[in-house]
Amino acid sequence: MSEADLGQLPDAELISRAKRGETECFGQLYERYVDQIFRYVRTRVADAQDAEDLTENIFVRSYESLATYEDRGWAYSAFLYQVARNLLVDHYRQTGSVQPLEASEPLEAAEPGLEQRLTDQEEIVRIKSTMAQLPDDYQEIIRLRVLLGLPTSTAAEWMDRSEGAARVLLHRALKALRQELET
Amino acid sequence: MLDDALTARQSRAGDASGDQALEHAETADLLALAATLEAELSPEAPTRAAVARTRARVLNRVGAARKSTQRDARPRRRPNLFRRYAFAMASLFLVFALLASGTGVAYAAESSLPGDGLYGVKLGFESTRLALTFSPDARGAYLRSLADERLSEIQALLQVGRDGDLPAAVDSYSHTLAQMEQAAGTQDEASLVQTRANLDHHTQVLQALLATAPEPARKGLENALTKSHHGLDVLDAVEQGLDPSQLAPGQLKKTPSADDEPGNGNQGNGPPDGPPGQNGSPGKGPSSDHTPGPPGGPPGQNKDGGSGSSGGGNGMPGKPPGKNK
Repeated sequence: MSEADLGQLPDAELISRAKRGETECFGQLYERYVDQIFRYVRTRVADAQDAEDLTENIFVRSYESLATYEDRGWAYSAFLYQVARNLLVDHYRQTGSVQPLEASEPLEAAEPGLEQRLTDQEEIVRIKSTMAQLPDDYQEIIRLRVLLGLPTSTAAEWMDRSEGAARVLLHRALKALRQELET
Repeated sequence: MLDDALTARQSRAGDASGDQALEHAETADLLALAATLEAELSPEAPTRAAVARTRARVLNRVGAARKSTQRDARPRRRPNLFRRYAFAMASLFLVFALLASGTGVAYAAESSLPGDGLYGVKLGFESTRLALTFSPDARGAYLRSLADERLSEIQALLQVGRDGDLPAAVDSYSHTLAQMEQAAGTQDEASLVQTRANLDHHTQVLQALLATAPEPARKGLENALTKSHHGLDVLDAVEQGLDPSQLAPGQLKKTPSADDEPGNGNQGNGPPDGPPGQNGSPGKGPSSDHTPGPPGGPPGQNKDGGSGSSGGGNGMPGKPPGKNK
């Protein structure tokens, strides 16, 4: 079966085949979700290489858990998200870091508009720092809905909430962040 | 409303509901904040190179994990006794092959007697075969045949006049009987009956030999007879549910007897060591009052012991068994 054909298969079919040893089917699952997972991890760790390594480990761990993974209507992406959260907890324990506060791109002094950029950079750091003070679920809904741009349904599924609850949570989270930024 | 507005903005649709939501000031503020966050903090997607690189690593690890799982799922080969003891088995096989081959060594060893150069080979062969005999009854049967063989060796040595080798033959006989007694505790009733029959036969043969044996051979034969009696006592003990080890070598049980009263000369818990018919010589004390027992008389029926009987016969009566060496 060609890669294009595999791309047409639903997650459940790919998972079933991957369990039987068709690693290409797992490769298809990887292609399908690597962007979301990598970007989510990137919102949680400062170093791009760490994010890449963690993404790799998340997919490998999820494969190792396929034997016990039961499709109870859970989206596979939600399963990956849970694996990601667990590995991030391990990563924080090992590194002692919690959130990426640094800018991902270093500034060059000779560039034009440096002053404005420095101001922007400070503002970004302040926003990140303020965000880190919010309750975990507030931070999480902002990451999923705003930073990753996931649909409400997906964010709700990942966070194991109803879509209505996810909407309310997003509203409260942004409101809380604005209030914190204004103080 | 905010969520709808955000969705509309993210999709760039700008539909009616989004426009409507934007009319609310608070919603507009929050939407602006969301836009700032998205613009400044939204992480970039991984590069295609990073995706391809990570994909290759993931699939490599997945493939390795799968192979490892298959190995683990494979039924672990249980330790094979034959493999574990392959070397020992091969050695034993070699011994068997050598002994069973037509080199003549096996035949010569098989007919060897104590004192012969190949007698050690014969004992080694028997020991090996015994070690490989695990069934209690088969072990008992083999030990009976070995005891018979030891008795035959004693007879053969006497026939050819090799009295000097008799002590070694009696030692071998004693050793085999001790093994047989030890094995008696694990045998069934039929096997014990057979063992008793064999030992009864041994006592008769030994007594007959003793009757005609030259003086130098007598002591050895008497010891052998004592061992056979002890073997019968052990069988009695086993039938009574006792442990064979409760009767130590040389320790014979006390057989109740009307003559076994204080003062009748019987010493403690066993029959006299002297063979029947050998202890009737005039002695000192009570033992001289007793008539020598007939050959083949059961243990405990020789009334020749006694505190004053040490001078009777060949000096053995009255001494505890096992001290007549």
